[in-house]
Amino acid sequence: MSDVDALIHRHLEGALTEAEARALEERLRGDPEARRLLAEMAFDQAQLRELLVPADSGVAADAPAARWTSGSKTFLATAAALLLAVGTGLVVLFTRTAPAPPLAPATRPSEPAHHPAVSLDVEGMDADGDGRVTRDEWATAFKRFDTDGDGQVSAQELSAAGVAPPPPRPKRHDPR
Amino acid sequence: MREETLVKNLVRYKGVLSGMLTALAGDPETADDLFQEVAVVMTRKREQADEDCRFVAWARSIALNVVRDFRKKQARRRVRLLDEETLEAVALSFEEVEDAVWDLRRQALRTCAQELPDRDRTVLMRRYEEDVPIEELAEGMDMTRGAMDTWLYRIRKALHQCVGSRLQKSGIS
Repeated sequence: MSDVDALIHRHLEGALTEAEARALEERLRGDPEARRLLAEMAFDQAQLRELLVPADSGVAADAPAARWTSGSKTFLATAAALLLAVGTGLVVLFTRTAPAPPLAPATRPSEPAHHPAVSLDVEGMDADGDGRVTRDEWATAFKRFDTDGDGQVSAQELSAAGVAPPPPRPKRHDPR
Repeated sequence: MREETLVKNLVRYKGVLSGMLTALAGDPETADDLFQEVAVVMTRKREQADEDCRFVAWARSIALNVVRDFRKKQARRRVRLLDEETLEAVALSFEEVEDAVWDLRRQALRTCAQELPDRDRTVLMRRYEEDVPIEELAEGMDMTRGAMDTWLYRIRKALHQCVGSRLQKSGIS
């Protein structure tokens, strides 16, 4: 373990002392490899928050497309993270606990994993028109999307509700 | 930049932007808050950005401003933020990695996380997904804070090495 590894770990835990912060700053300013290491470790930490969502989080492991359930932490966190594009009628959902595949053996990494965000026409969801969607308003909207009443919203139901399809996966890098 | 383009780019680069803010803020919960703030600013300023602008570069400039504002508001904050020069250098380092490499990194990380022992995965989830403080985690497992911190550090290192090894096999150094 190098010193810079330990300093980066402490930085990413929000636990640096003043002396450690100065030591890390010096390394980061003068060493591109240290900066790259911090970038990678920070990226990993941010991704882990989605990759570690357990199998019972509201995303069905064997579902052909991501499914959300109204009672899950994932769903509530997503609803809480609604970001309104004010005045445009669009709402963007993206959160660290957006629907993600569970770490189950059945997971097939080569398949499109999940769609972390969608855009929705917010008209009608923001019932009191205050520019924000409350949990209750979201719950009401959820019932509207969940047309078969099974407590889950499927891709088909979202599509039927007029939700834009998720963007295509980015082109894979050719390592050659 | 059109609204649709902004949404697509936010989705496309969410991982990189989250990683950048985590690196700058040095605290997972703060990074979450800042991510939303950055997205709000981008929404507000989208018309100032060209349709085909380099999105990560634009995001970097906004992220740095958001972090600077945060620093001013949190002058007495317990967590130490990096100084200005270092913040800029760190943010820039995210632009120096090809988008496709981030994608491959995420795939490798998924595999490596799956290979972790259940106990390690549970600790990671409680710390980074549920935001349980290290002290509380340590207390729940009847260990010292230092021992828990060392454990998390070792898992972080193991994951980083696993991902690096997988990328190397794919021809990515």
